[in-house]
Amino acid sequence: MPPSSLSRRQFLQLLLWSLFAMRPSSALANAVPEIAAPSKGPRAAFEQSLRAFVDVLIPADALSAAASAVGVDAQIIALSKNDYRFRKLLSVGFKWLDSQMPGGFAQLSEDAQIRVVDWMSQADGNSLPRRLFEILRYESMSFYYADHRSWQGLRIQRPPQPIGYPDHAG
Amino acid sequence: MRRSDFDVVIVGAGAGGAAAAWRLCTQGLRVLVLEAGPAYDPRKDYKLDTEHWETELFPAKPGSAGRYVFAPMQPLEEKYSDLRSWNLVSGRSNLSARREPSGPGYHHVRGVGGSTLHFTGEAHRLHPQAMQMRSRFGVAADWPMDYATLEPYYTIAEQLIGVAGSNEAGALGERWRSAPYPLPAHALNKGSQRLGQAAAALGLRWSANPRAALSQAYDGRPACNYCGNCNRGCPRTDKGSVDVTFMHHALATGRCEVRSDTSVTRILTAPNGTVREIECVDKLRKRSRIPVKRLILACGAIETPRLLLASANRSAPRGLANESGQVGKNLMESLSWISSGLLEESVDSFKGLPADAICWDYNRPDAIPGVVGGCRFSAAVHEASLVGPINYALRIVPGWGKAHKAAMRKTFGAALSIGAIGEFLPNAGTYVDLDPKARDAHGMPLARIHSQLGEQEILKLQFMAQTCRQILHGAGIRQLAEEYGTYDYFSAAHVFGTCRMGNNPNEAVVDAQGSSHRRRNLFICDASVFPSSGGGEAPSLTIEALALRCADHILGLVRANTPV
Ligand SMILES: Cc1cc2nc3c(=O)[nH]c(=O)nc-3n(C[C@H](O)[C@H](O)[C@H](O)COP(=O)(O)OP(=O)(O)OC[C@H]3O[C@@H](n4cnc5c(N)ncnc54)[C@H](O)[C@@H]3O)c2cc1C
Ligand code: SF4
Repeated sequence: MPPSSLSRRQFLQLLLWSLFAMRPSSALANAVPEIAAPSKGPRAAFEQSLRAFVDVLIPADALSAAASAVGVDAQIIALSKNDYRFRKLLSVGFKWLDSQMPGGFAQLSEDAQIRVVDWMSQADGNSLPRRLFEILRYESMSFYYADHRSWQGLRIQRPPQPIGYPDHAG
Repeated sequence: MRRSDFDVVIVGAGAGGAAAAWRLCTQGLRVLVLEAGPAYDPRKDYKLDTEHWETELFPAKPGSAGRYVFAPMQPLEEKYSDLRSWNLVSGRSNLSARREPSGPGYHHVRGVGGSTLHFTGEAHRLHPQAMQMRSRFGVAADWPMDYATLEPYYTIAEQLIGVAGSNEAGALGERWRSAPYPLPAHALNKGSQRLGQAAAALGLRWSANPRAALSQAYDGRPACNYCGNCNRGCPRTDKGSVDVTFMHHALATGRCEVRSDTSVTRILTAPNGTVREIECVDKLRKRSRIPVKRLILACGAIETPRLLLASANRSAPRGLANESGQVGKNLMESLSWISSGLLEESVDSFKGLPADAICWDYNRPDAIPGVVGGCRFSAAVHEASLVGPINYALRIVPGWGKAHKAAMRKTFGAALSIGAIGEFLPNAGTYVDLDPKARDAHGMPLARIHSQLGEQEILKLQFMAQTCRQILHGAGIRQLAEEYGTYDYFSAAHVFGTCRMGNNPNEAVVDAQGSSHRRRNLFICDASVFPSSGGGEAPSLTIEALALRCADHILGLVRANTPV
């Protein structure tokens, strides 16, 4: 049976092919009124915004840590160093995101951050906000669930080997 | 002219090459195997005991993936929108207006063990009636042998591998056997048990799938521990890939030498038309020539025609062994479908042996109403790679934030998938040729894959998709989570037919023994010789049986002192 999951490379291709033709949207300000005034001051550091963003995607809860606590943001930055198009998407994307609000995305309240991310997740499929959201979701989930600390509360607590699942038949 | 130190040189150490090497060496011949890819060490190279186990489908090593290109494929039609691939997280997967390769498209591994390193390990015999497609239905070509001729070789291969299967009538799917399976069948996991109840309610027989995975310790290898990840490479070596079975025993004879990381780039002939030498390039990019007495090509159904076409010369301007014009023609790809859904509660479906259960009821070539060629259904959650949290999060559990975390915990282990593979009939638009421009690092033209789905294939896909959905529904799935098929993607793990075998030299590249009709010391032992694809049977056991038979033919020639 042929494998059916998209490889990371395929996913990137899908998301990045029209990156340079995309125009950012101004509709975000309507959706989250407190960010309506565009930032005049210095941009918040990209790393800070990225960290905040991945923690909105994967926050801490009673059982497991937030994305940044297991190093998801650092791994995304490391990955972008070897991939020009990904680096470009992050740079264009966060420039746009941070320019939408004074102090940048990281300075928003948790509730406002959630509403921004929610809006991005529903933006037009070809828009920059949506693509930034999709790729950060993809990479964050990939890195997060590759770390054993994320497995708390799941029915898998260890890699499949060396023990296997001798209880598979019930 | 220099004489070879080896009685036989084999190009390619996959299913066909390794089986041929084993048979020849154990019968006393000296064999050299040249393999383009690297050697894998199951205990070191496979990652299933690390926390990153899920990130790669099969661990890549330098040289483990071949290069090839695709010609543009057919436009997709809205009337077949129910055959488009999609999932809950991303929606429709192929957003273009044409059929496209999915990832590499031709899923394979270059390495000592070939694509069996990555394979699931289903160990199927072909349905006897699937070998007479032309005489019975006027399509494809007949096999120049019947099931009875191949049966003893199936038995030898199963014994060597340690195939585990059920000897009950329903499980055999209309294939008679001269001996029982060497090992008892594996117990089904909880998800497959659930699918079995649903299949039974629809009147379908659901049984243990014959598997090249050990249900008991066998031949110095331990039993399977049901980790569910055969496609990522089995570190326990209980999966019957050919590196730990045929090749392992061939090397133990002391008469087999394997040179990995060595690509054969050209075959050279003598004035009398026989094969004289091969040209190869090793890991250090050193080019050399090796004289051959007898040459077996076992590069797989994409690379064997490529090598023959690239070896064209003045006396063979259309490519070597291509007097019939059939080299590269009649490519048959995998026609496949998988539907997945989520149960209300987890059944730990990620545990267990992949593809542990099968339904053969529609496998006979006339079993599906209105189309020619059969199909089979099998449990597919592991092959769909829904075995770890990353794949759940990326494909079937949408959302983000705290609610997503909670949904992951609730649903992990609740996925059920059912897959189908069906017969692909050869057509004029599906073939392999050489790309006029693209070349590999050694200057060899790349294979170019042309693919065209015929109407019969699309109708078959519709039947396969509908039946998969019905079974899932019967198992208690209320909402599908993902569907993936080869209507909008070229995604082939099983490829066949580009050097068809047959009795008529004007229609076939090799004869019933795998010997070139015109080049008497040239043989082909891989999936390229299949005259028809079968009704969804996994091919490696048949490739191995054919290779053993070809090896016996060569042994006969050697013993009879037939001049080369
Ligand atoms: C994900 C996946 C799942 C599968 N599941 C199953 C299954 O459950 N059961 C089953 O029966 N089959 C399965 N298959 C298919 C099976 O693995 C193949 O059909 C089989 O391995 C093909 O055998 P082959 O000898 O034709 O080619 P391969 O096994 O692909 O071997 C060809 C070898 O030749 C080498 N080669 C190519 N060109 C050259 C050259 N010029 N010089 C030197 N070497 C060269 C390649 O590197 C390769 O190692 C699966 C395949 C995949 C990818
Ligand atoms: S399920 Fe069994 S055969 Fe497959 S990789 Fe795991 S231990 Fe090996």
